[in-house]
Amino acid sequence: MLLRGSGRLAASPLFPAAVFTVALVATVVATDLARATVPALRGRVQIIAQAERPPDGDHYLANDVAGHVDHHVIYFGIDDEVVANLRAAEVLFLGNSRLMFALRPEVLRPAFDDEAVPYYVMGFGFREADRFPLAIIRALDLRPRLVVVNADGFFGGGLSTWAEVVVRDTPFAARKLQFEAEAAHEARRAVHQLVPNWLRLFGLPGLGLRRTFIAYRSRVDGTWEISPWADGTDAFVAGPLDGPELGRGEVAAARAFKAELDARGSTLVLTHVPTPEPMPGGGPARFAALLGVPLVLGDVPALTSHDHSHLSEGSAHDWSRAFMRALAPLDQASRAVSLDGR
Amino acid sequence: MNFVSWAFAALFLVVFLARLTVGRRKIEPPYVAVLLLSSLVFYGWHVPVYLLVLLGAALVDYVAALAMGALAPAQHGRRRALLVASLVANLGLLAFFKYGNFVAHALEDLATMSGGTLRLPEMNLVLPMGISFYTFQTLSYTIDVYRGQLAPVRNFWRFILFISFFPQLVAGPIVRASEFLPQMARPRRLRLRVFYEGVWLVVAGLFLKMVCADNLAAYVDEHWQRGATPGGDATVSLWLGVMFSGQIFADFCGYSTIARGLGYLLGYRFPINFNAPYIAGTFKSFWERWHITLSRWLRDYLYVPLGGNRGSRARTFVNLLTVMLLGGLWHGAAYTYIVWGAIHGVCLATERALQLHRHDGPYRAPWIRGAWAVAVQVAVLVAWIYFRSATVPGATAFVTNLLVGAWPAPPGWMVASLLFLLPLVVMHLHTWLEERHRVRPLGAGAKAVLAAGMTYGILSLYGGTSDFIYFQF
Repeated sequence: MLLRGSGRLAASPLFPAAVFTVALVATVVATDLARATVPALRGRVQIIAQAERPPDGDHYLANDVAGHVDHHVIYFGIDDEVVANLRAAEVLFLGNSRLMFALRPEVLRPAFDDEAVPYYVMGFGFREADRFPLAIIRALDLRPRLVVVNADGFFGGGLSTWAEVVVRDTPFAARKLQFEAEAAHEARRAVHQLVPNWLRLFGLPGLGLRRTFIAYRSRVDGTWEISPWADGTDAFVAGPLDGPELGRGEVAAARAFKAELDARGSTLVLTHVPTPEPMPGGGPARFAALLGVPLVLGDVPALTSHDHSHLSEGSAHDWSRAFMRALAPLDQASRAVSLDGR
Repeated sequence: MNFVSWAFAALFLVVFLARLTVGRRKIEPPYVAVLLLSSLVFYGWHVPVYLLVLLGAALVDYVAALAMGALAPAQHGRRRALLVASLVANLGLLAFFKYGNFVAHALEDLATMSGGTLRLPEMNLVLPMGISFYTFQTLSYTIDVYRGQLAPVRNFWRFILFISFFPQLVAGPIVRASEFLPQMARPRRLRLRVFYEGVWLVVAGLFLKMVCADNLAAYVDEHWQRGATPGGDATVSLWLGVMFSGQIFADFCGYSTIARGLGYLLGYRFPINFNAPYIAGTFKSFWERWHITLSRWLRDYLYVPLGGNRGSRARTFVNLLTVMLLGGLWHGAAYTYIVWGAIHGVCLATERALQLHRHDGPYRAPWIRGAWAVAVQVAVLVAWIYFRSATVPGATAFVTNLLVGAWPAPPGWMVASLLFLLPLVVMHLHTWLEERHRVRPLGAGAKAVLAAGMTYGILSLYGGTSDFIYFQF
């Protein structure tokens, strides 16, 4: 009887669909059970399943494992609000991802808003150096009053491998990339609540876990919201600011960059975001001396990093405060000069 | 547009909804219009202006075929002139986009070797996606019309749909006009059985691409240079060769399988393109199992017109070598592809000379056939090394390591990485057993369980996203 019943079931046109559904649901349930009971799996959550949404609609997805959109959006100017705010910025910050982690909007916003100074943080990941932001400055004809550069492998670094891809792309390709990245981000958010990607939790054998993070960029001021942001585990002392002698390429690039800003009526200021990683090329103090520009530092005694490169959230907050305190007099002086000039 | 993208998912959803509503009989004009429009969107999504290249080439073939059809069979000269015009237009576009820089560099090299200097302008062009595939598809149409094997298509938009039908537009299977055009007139309602088969193929193809190919690619991309390092280990070189053999199979077979599945869901059948090529015991068998639609195309439109095996033995060998060299060049404008084709050409000719391609030939002893099967797969692997490498010297250094390098025991992670090859091994083993009637084809229940497992694999083991390797051809 039972056999006859199961035979009838197997002959049903919906049998394969039913088997598929039951098998898939069973696998997902087994996964959840394993994650709840097996000690090695407990507490292991993919960052996409933990990521908080950006605080408001003024943020767009800038960087995720499924799509690095940040370069494209700004380079091709596909977001009108971003372009408008960039053009309006009186103070422009440039640098790599270490700058983007370090400059916290909750510190910058009140400080600049009090003085009614529009600003924009235009750093990029992929260890981006001077050529890429310079191309944007020229393309959008930016003329900020003050340009603050994180002199951390910035001058003479050329284009990153990712930027080389970006500059060969088209605005159409940029929009497609943004669509794909956002769709993949949302889909991964939903799927990985149920099932993790095991290779993102444990890494591929022999290749390990790749360092990844999720960042949303503010259209208003360009700062990154990072989520989740791991706690700082790596206490370090910032290295010396002079570093090795400047190379010929670095000197030429730094002078050309300064000349470009001079021609645009912008004042250059250097800074350095502390990092446990060795500094590539010459140190910020050497560049400041070469160009005759101020070096503004955030003096924070105890710093931590969460990934041996970027500051942890607490340290970033502290560094931003200290840095803004140091920058304030310079900014006021620059504003005074600017007003006199008018 | 890439099958593994959200843009494609959205596009396919729209088309499939049309299939379920206005296209329940697939000949309904609104459904045909949706297919045509979505195919153009699919192609234009890459570089919109290249739609003009596709449509221009199609227009030439459409007009040439119509004109040929209007001529009496006795008017050989005029018919041939029209065919030549079509071939020149199609192959001219292919040559311009794909081989322009390669020829320019070859001429510069020749000039340098003869003591002169020549500098030709570099063309900085993006290759139109799938141009090699759709060029072969349109050529098959005009040649078949010229041969009188096919009546020309009167309706221009139906012809455009044949050329641009999105599931197989950019990386095959290369569907001939004689296989596709007759299907257009069949109503073919969507049955549940066909739906299951289509979904099964799509899931299997996505699994091959996203889990096997993309994860194997992570290792191959990370370590390939190690294989070519002078004095490197043979273990590493062999491991990389095997990993790439798996990657390219999973990547390309994955694409073809998805394409066939999509075709099923939309009411069209495409020919099978892969049939467990790594169980082939002869080179002939390998080419009957690997990229089958290309092999058939080369056989029917190149090898046979060149004389095939109807002339002397020497002429047959020359024909084989010519076809495989051109097959190599079809893949890409680089010396590495030519060497890849040459290896296969020489091996096919050698096999034929020794009559090892025949099961009733002089060498029937099982140990000889077994040894030859191993030799075949080693040669295929060596050829893949040339296919993957950026330069011929780099590939030769790789092969040298394989031959003379040391054989230290592989580290644990290297062995663990072979897990991504396991599904491919199982797939090949199942085909091997099925061909010997040791196992039955999978039933509906087994396929459903396997599809669920593969879906889980896609969700939880997908690698980094990457384009299909054959998109560049």
